[in-house]
Amino acid sequence: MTLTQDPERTTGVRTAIEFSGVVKTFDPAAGPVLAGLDLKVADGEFVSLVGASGCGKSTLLRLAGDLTSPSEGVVLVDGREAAVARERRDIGIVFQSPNLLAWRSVLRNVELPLERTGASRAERRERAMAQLELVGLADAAGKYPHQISGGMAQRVAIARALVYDPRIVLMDEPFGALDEITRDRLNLEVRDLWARTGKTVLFVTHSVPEAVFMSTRVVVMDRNPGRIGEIVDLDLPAARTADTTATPEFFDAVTRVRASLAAHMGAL
Amino acid sequence: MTVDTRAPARTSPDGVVRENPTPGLPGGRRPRRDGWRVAAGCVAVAAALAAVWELVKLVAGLDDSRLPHTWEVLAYFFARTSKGDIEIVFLLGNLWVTVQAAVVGIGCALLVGIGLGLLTAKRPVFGPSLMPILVLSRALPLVALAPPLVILLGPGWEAATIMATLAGFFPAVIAVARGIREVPVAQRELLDSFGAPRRRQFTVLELPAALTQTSAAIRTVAAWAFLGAVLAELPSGTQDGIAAVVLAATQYYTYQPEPMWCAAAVVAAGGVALVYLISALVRWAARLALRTTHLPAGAES
Amino acid sequence: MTTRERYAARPASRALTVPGTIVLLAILVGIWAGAIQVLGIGALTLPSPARVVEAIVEKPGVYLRNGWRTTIEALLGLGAGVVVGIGLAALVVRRRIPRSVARIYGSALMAMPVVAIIPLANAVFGFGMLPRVVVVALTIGPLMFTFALTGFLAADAGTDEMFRSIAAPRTKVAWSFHLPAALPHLMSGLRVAAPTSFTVALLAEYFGGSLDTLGTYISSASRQLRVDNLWGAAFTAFAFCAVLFWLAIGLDRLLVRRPAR
Repeated sequence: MTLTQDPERTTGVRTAIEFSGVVKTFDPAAGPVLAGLDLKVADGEFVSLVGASGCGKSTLLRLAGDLTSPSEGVVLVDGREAAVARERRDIGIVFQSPNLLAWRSVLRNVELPLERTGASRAERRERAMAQLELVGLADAAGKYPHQISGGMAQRVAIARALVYDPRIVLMDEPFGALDEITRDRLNLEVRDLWARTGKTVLFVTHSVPEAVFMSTRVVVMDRNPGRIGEIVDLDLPAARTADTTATPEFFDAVTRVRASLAAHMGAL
Repeated sequence: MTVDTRAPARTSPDGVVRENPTPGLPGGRRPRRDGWRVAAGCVAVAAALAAVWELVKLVAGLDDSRLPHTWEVLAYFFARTSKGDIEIVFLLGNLWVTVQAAVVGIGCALLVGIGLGLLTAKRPVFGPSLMPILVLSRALPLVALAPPLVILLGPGWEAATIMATLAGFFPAVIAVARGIREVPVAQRELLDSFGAPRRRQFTVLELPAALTQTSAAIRTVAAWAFLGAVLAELPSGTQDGIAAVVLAATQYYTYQPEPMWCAAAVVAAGGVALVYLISALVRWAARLALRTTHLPAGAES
Repeated sequence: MTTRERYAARPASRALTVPGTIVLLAILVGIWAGAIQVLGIGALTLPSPARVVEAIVEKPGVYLRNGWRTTIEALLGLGAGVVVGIGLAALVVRRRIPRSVARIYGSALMAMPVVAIIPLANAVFGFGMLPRVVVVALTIGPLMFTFALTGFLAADAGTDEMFRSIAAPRTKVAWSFHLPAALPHLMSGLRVAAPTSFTVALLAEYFGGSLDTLGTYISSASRQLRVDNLWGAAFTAFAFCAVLFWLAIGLDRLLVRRPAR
């Protein structure tokens, strides 16, 4: 079964994230970072954003998460304003750095989003433990952030973003600081988690193979000002393993995205 | 150009390069063997100091009234005072009087410091106006303040507590303000990402950060507060308290030097012990409050 | 529509610093003057602000001369403490055991109330300038040692290795890398040390010695209950402390380029 044949995923019963006419300017003298950007992400999709540094892909993600607001245009998440979606806890964000609180154990870091939500302590513990098991860190629950590796810390961050079961997950180069071996393994895990939970994922990355391996669609961004360059649909099999990266289809897709990237950001 | 062939600076003897050779961080090797060596080193330094003391006395020919023998000073701790008490008991009794005022003062210094720290960090208009005054309070000549305060309030614990508060509150202000200001924006955004209300930032991020910084600054707070309490005893009129005893001992120093050395030693040791005790207590309380076994290191103040 | 970033710094509040501080100071002096009026505090207990100003204006030379003597003692002690503290930190920074031992003694010395060593220093070094300088140095030394050690340890390991890769001699590395890298920490230490040195010198003088210093002036004024002179001396001391503090800040700004906040 390929993804294009899955009606639920590509045609999109509904739109999860929608950017229309989004302009974002931080410093008027430097011009807009994003200029008139339109993008729709369907429910249950895994969309990667690739582009050169400074093309505004992180800003795009932060707009979706309502960590910053657009200068012009509208960002809708689940049909509502992004701010409302954030308040409703529809969005989970995995940041570039794990951002764990040093004085909390791994378990209590994962519990953090559940505190003051009416969940009892036992319930919080149970849900956090279940999430830690999902990312394979049940054994490290009692450890403190300074006692675990970078890869483990980022997995804790993923567990923390998923623990309140948001429908949409935003990932901003979550594994950028990790070594390639750890990175490949975590990519596989994230892809697995997505396949099992059916969440919508918006994923920012520098790495073309990573984007291709993970996604249903890859959005190649233009630079100066940032806007959508090209959207590359992928027709790789849904069940992806480490072997997927050795198939001709995979190479073909990577080449297509690379060519598009080269076309959209000028000479490297 | 000479090539330095000695051991590379950042490489430890086992050849492992470490990012940050700060002790206390995880990855410190052989803590137990180090512990023994450090203890031996401390004893060696103390012995060397005592030896220098005796050597100076011998070489410079200082008589007992300027520098008594180490053993004479030690022996005097167990001598009887004119009132029949054992000297060390008498000194510890007086130390207790000062310590009481100092402990109350440390509590007040923490309360005032934390309050002002919150104000400076959280109030955008009041904070910047208050900060220069607070910074200048570090320049408060404490000795100059003690006599007027004692005249104003009379000798006793009130003056001592106020002096201790004045002397000790500033590092607490800085610690709290720094803790709150230096909460990473990324952590605030993390709370935003799951729709936590703004006040959660205070309880989840700012308060713990302020708490860790304060427990790093507590030694400075306690040391200065104890000094403040001691200073309040210096102006005339005070009888009890360890500083009053030191002052009295200086009066008849030429006649008998040992009491002053003993009293000074008790002030010094008492101050150090109090500081470490309070520091351990506060750190324990902070760990309890944060429900953690790992208290992150704070910055020096 | 323009939106402010959620956690951007507020530039408006900085403009309020100077007028706000002046207003706050005025309020404090107002409370002082008001308290005397309302509570009926006698002039022998707490003089009014006007009386204190009067006392200073009456004989500013006495205060300034005494303050200057104290400043000299403070600066000599400060200098000695800075040199010894930084020197010791440089000596032990690469040696694990001595570093731990020095740390323990340093933190114990900082926890120790200076009052304990003042009479001892007076007894051993006589009643000249020397005991005060020693006492100030003994307070400043461990303080600067702590800041210097943090600074030296914070030096970037990568840059250190770069210097080794070009086979730079040790002294060269110390001068052109370790010292500049530690400089922000050293200057933070000096910010604390400069006013502290004056406070401690004042305290040391309180225990006797030559009569023309601010500390002895304060002690005699306190014994003779000359309250307005006492407060006058207190304000003089405060002014000297503040000047030393500002000098330290000035030096810091001159030597260390910090990112604007």
